[in-house]
This record gives sequence, structure tokens and C-alpha cells, in this order.
Amino acid sequence: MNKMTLNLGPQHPSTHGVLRLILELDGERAISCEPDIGYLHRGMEKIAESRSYIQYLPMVDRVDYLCGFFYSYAFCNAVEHLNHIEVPKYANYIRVMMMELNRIASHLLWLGTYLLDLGAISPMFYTFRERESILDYFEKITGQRMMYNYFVFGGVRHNILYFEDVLNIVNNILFKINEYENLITDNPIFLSRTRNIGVISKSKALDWGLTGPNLRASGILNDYRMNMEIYDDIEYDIILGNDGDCYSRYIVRIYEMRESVCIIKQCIDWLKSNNTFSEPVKISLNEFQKGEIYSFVEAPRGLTLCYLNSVGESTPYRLKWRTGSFYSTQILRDILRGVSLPDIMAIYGSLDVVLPEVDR
Amino acid sequence: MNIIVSTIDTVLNWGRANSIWPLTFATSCCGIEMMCASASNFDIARFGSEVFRPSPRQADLLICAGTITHKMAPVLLRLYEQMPEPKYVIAMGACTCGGGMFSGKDAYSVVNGIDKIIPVDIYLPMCPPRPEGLFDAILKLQKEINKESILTRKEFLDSHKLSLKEENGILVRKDYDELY
Amino acid sequence: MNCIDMIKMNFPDVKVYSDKVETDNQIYEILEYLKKTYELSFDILLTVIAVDYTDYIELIYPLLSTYMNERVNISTKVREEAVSVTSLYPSAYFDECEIYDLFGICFVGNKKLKRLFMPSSWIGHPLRKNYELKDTRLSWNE
Repeated sequence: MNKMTLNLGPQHPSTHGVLRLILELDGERAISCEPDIGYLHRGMEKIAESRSYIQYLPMVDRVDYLCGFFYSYAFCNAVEHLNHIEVPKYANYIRVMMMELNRIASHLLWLGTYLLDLGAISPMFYTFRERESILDYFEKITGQRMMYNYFVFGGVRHNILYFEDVLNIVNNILFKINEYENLITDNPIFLSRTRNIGVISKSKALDWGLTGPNLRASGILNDYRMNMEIYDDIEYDIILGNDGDCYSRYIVRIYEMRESVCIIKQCIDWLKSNNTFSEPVKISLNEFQKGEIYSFVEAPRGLTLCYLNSVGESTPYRLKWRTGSFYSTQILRDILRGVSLPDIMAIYGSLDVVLPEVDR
Repeated sequence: MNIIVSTIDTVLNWGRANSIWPLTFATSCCGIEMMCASASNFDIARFGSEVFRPSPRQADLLICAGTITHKMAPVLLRLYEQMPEPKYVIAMGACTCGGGMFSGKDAYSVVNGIDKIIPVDIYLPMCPPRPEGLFDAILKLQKEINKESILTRKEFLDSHKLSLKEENGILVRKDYDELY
Repeated sequence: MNCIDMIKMNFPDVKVYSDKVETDNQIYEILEYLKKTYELSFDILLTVIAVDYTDYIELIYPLLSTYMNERVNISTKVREEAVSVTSLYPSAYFDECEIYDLFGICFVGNKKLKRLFMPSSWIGHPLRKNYELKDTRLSWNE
């Protein structure tokens, strides 16, 4: 047998960042794969220990720049639970709405870049067009395209007013998703690149700690939104795949976008009929409670945990992020065995890995 | 003689300035804005820079989009050395200009600005810059290129000698062994 | 009977707090019990959290059961060495490498421990409370 070692990355266009894969190849088949991460390790957890809660709040968005609202929510929720701050229901509905819009934006970017990895260039231009309409709305509300810093302890920074804009955006996206499906879902090239490629069985997915859409695509019902209080009054379906291959991961994400649109419409109905915005309460920064808080949120790339350990000082004693992508990268050690070289990027892309979330 | 040189300069600079091929070097947040800049709404092709090259050997411009850590720094230096002359660098985002929000002592693994490693032509701060900001940087770079002359290019290169080398996976000064 | 009662019944030495179950040296046995008992089947190890309390380091293992939709946190105190759980949960491999890298804890049983985030020649373990960045090789970065 003639083994060859191939180094992929860290500067490689298909890794969407700075992942390095060390592959052992036999001809075109991969024998083993060892991901080498840490090229974007910015020390987010150490920084938290020397900056106050308010100073750390804008940095939270940078942990994962594609879904900043989820990370803000996890951090704010942890601080609110620690200090027993009550969040008004109106603010919670705004949070849900913004988070679901962000989920759509994140999935749209995944869709465009995934098809770019598979060799289809035009879907990227379509999905970025729709993503841009969501980003314009975020900019109107928060003043930034990607790093929002909009959720604060005890609510949201200010009221949102442009409900008609949101309705127009989501209705347009619902229409465009059908357009993408016409273009992609039954495309024979796409099918042959993704059907029965990169199959992750149920037990393998659980062993390697997959969460979020990747786990649901393997047919396991697990969505942390079921346990979150802010989703209690909202009706939505949880999308399950059954094969666990790249194609079912694609289908799960497409249908999740439709569900998000459904959630956003329910939020707007509620917000319109109960327009009672109140400013978030001012909290004293010097009187933080002691304790350990586990704050969870179902982010687009899997279950996110913000572990906050406070000893009563103005800075956290220890802060730990558990992110979905960290485990999606790790599973490559197992599932890339015996896969042919062109499929590696198809499998890696379908897992929707964002590197700053892996390295933190 | 001067007339001939200035004529050649005009032609060369015109060609160089209007087809700058960037290298896809997206490390973090700014990389997404760079992708937005090349997508449909903003369309970087209007400025002649739409041909993103994955290989440094085919690129003229290194848009360093995102934080550089100590583990990534040797990669950046090697990519820069692999690019053929003439080459230009845009430092995109506050992290690459001077560390940004990670410039404190507590961020142990972040390089405080890529100008400590390679020479930078255009600084583009903000966290992250909008795509329009990137276009502004490219236009400013085009203006700079138009001022160049083949006679003075060598002096410019001599004044930008690289002072770091790779050792055991991290960058150290070339005179490190003499200093310590 | 909820899972904390079941742990208490089978492992009488554990200490139960409001949000975690603390054990001295039975971490592997408890995790094995939680994973392999059919009524519990805690099948996902979410992460491994290390907290540096200067004289010891606490490791917290949050577990999730997709079958019961329930969570439990198991914690243990270590100084320099800990037991690896990669044979139970393969996903713990990166977590253990991360803690080895950032806290300097060796996991017995994990044969491929390596520095995960920092370059291999890095000095010190950054997330320790007494860590200071003083590496003369990086003097150019000030």
C-alpha cells in the first residue's frame, strides 16, 4: 500500500476559515483524518476573567459572527438568572424574533457556501441577496450588520418598530426558498454528490456529541427550544431527517428556515397586539450574586452552553462556551475514513462548521 | 529617458491598478464581509478585483480579513513570501490594524496588528468594516499604485525588510539568538 | 425515581448539591452507569468544564439524555491527573486535549493527548489563574 500524507489548509478556500486537516491517503481514499484547530484561538474565555460583564457583552457576538444574537442571549440569560432579573414578556418576544431571523440568515449563508463547495456558483449570489435583506433590517434596528450588541441584561436595548418590513422580508424569503428548492433539491448532480454520502448513524452522532440540525438529520429528536421558557407559547414543528447523509442535513436546514418564518410571524402577531415596551432595568454592577449558571440555547449550529461561575466580583470567575461546531469538527476523525477525496469537502461543508466557534 | 520611464510607468500602473487579484485569506468575521463584497449586492467586480485566487502565487493583493493569532502568524508570513512582486497588503478590520478588542494583555494569543509581521499598504479599521469600506480601501490602493515608478520600487522594497522568522511553530525575531 | 436518587442509591459516597453531583474518584464508574442504564441512557456528554480554584481544579461533566430529555452535571476535583472517559464518550477527546492545553491536566488513558489550541512549543497553560504571558520569543508583539 502506498500511503500519502496530504495537508489541507489552514488557508484553503473550502474550509471557510482556518481549519487544517491532515489526511492520510491511499490513492484517492482517505485512511485517516486528523483535524488541527486553534488557528483562530483568541482566548475568549480568558478575556472574560479580566473584563467586567458590561465590557464583555460586545465580545460575545464575536464568538460566532454568523449568529451573534444566540450568543448574546446565552450570556444575558446567564447573568439574568444569576442576579434574578425579570425579563418582560415583550422583550422576550423581540428576542425570539431576532434570533429566528438570525437563524435564517445563518442557514442562508450555509446554503450558498455549501453549494459553492460542491461547484455550483450561482446559488451563492441568490442566497446572499436574501441574506442581505435581513442584514439591512438588523442594521436598521441595531446599527450593525453582524455584531449587534442589542440584547442587554434585562431586555433589549430599544424597541423595534418596523414590523411591516419584517413581514415583507420573511414572505419574500418563503417565496425564494421555493425557488431554491426548484433549483437544487431535485438536481441530479446535487443528488449524486450528497445522497448516501457522509452517513452518520444515530449511535455515532450521539457518541461524538453532535447537536442541532446535524443530530436531527440522523433522526434523533432533540431540540433545546422545547425546554426554553421563551418558546413556550410558540407553535412550531421540529424537523427530523432519517438517513443522516449530506442530503438530509440539507433538507433539515431548508425546512428549518420555513419553521423560523412561521415563528417570526407568530411573534409579530403578538408584538403588534401587545405593544408595551419598557426600558431594561438598570442593574448595579458591583453587587453580583455568587453561583454557577448553565445557560443553554439552540443555536443554528447546535446546542450552545454558556457556563458562568461568579464569586461575587465585577468580573466572571470562569466562563466557558460549549459550541456545536467544536464537536462537528471532531467527528471528522471518524466519518472521513474510507471516503474519497472529492467527498471530503462535501461532507465537511454539510456539517456547517464555523471556525471561530470551534477555536473561541 | 525620463519621458520613456514615465510612459512605461503609466501603462504598467494602469494595468496593475485596475486588475488587482486578491488572495482568499479570510480568517474570521471580516472574511464574511469580504464574501458579501464579492456577492451580488455589492459586487466587487466593479473595481476589477473579483478574481479571488486561492493560491498566493497568482495573487497581487493580500486582504488580511480577520484576527491573526500566534499559531496563524507563520502561515501569514509564508503566504506573503510566496506572493510574486508587485504585492500589496490591506489590513482589514481593527484586529489586523492593531489588535482591536483583543489588544489587551489578557488576550494572550493574538498578534497586535499584522504590521509587526509584514508591511501594510492600507489600514482599514472598524469591527468589522462594511463592504463599502473595503471598496474605499481598494480605491485608495489604486491611487497609491498610480503614483508608483519602476525606478523607486526597489528602494521601497529595501525599506520593508522582514524581521521575523519561524521557529517551532511560532514567529521569533531574526536576531533572537543574539539578543537572548 | 429521578436520576439523582438512582445515582445516590448506587453510589452512596457522592455529595449532592443543587445543580451538580460531586464525586471523589468514581467519575468513570458513574458515567458508565449513567450511559449504560437503559432507563437513564445519558447518551451525550455535552462538554467538560474545568474551573481553576488555585489549589485544585474542578472538572464538571454536563450530560444530556435525548431519550428522557433530561440533564445532569457530575463534578470531580483533581490536581494534576484525571481519568480519561474517551472510551465511553469519544467526543471527550477534544475536550480533554483542550483542558490539557489550557490547564495542564493529564488524562490517564488518553494516549493521544496534544496541545489543541496553542502552538506545540508554547510555554505555560493560559487558563490557569496564575498564568502570565512572559515569553521572550514573543517580545516583538508588545
